[in-house]
Amino acid sequence: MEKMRLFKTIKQSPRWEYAKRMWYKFSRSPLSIAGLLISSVCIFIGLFAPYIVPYPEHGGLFHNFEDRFIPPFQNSSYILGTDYYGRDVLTRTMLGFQYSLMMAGTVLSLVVVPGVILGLVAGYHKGRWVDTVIMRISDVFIAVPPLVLALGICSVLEPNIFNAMMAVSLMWWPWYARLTYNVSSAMRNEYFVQAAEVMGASTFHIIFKEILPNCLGPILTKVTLDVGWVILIGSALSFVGLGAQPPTPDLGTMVATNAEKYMPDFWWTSIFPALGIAIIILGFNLLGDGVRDMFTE
Amino acid sequence: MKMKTYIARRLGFALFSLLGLSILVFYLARVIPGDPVLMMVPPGTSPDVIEALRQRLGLKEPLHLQYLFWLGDVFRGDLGFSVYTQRSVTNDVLEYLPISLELVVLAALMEIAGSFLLGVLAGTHAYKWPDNLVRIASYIGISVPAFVWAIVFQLIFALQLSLFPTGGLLDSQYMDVIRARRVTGFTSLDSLIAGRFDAFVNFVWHATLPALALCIGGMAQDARIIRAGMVENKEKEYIAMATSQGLPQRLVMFKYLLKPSIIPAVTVMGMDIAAMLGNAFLVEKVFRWPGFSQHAIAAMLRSDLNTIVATVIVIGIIFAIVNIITDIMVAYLDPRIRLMEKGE
Repeated sequence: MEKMRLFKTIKQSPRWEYAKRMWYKFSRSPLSIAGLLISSVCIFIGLFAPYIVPYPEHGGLFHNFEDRFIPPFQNSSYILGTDYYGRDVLTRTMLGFQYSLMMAGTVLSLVVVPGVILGLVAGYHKGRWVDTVIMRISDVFIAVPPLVLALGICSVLEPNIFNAMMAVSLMWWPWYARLTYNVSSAMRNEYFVQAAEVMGASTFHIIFKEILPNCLGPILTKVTLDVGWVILIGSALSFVGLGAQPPTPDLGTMVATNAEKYMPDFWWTSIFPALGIAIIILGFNLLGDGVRDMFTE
Repeated sequence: MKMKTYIARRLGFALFSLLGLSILVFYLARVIPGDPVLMMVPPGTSPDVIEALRQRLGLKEPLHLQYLFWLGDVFRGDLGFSVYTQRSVTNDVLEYLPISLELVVLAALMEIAGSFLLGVLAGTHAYKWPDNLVRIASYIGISVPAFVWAIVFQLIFALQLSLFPTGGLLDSQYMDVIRARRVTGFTSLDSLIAGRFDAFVNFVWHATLPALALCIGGMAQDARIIRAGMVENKEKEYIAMATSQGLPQRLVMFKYLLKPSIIPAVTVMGMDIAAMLGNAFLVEKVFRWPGFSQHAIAAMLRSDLNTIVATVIVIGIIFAIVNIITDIMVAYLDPRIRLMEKGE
């Protein structure tokens, strides 16, 4: 006991040591660092967009027809140009980040916990009826491309951003159940789980204290990557007109409505929001790759 | 022999999932939107008419019986009546689905060809500039959604450079081909059957940009997977052995190195091609491609419930077929899976 304490004071705490090793693995790839930077900037814009954009009032039903369709990089007060109503494209794109990240945040916070719990329970009871019921139900949601089911659900509801989030959440949990199931069912017969069983630990203890910590790596990686995918699906729903409705400054809505009406001549009204979507997805993809590196030996 | 049981098992699972999916969408379409009769009749219809209609459509029955009636109809090929087009949904599906499918098939062919080409290029020139180019392309490919590709391609190649048409299925002077006699419903096949090669060329010309927009994201990723497999397998001893025995480099490359390297890519390619069915919804909108997705979105925006349910089910069936074909192909390519099945 005495020896342990001495050991601890000389070396840094294992938790700190662990974090340092994780950071080392993450930072070995410059792409991961780039991903961290891009996604941090995106989150910053998403959180503080209403305070840092040049024209906060341009997010809604504002119009100023004197300044309509100013091309980008020509007028210093509208760097990315203006749209049909004379609204600043930069302002609306930055506000769009807010909606996109809100979508990703809401969907993932609704989906990850139930999905992971169902996957853990099914994985621990592999081969029993609980496993069959949970995994067969999750198969149903995976039986069509995610976008198609989300479109179907959205179309029977009122088209707005809240219902779009509900629709995406409803079909997203099975992916977490699947992932956790695969990891936890492989872990089910490991010695440490058997040891806990022999010692008479409760199922709750085994699932959450023994198995769950070992599943965290893949789950965290998937959460990071999914920020981009949820935003992609959300913007796709808005793009076909079943998500956020104009004048909401949602990126997908902006791309669609402006591409449809003003495409060849006023390309910037649609291309810059599209670029915004691509930057968010790129950032979280690179970050996700870094997180994966962190958890692989 | 074992292969047959494997396929049968996969089919069974797929059928089970599809049944579950049909229950899910049926309940979604019947429970959430409210009374379907009130959505069908114009406002101000007398309550007697509504009551009679409800009786006739079997909406007085309990919900699970309604589902079974509906499922029976589906198995007989009757997907109900479309409020949007005012005719049978089955007719709509048969008319529009081939037009979408040929776009997806073209995109799939382009994806397979492109990813092989780029993957082999990157794999044989690992850590040199072609490899780096493919790496950058794959990061861009993964982060730019298909509908953004569609808009960018339309802007550059159709609107600015006028190399390709901005949208549509065929130019107006060729429309007689599809109007006159639709044998298969597939524009490409119909134009060939009618002996109109010019119409076929015109079709391919119209389909190039949408197909490219559909496949370009997946293409770059698959190329990366093939490249990773080639680089990894190059270190294996059997390659060193083949090389040291003096086999021509080309033979080693394509016969021994490429085959095991494409197995992981085939799985991902199958998933990508299946996902194209979803992305077609976005790309068809941009290029005004008169296909199934375009039709389905129009119906969705008008809350045409029978068409919505049919869309999800039909796409689910195609999705299952693509996935099963992929599994079979992987099993065929990978001798470990194939022989294990035999040995058991």
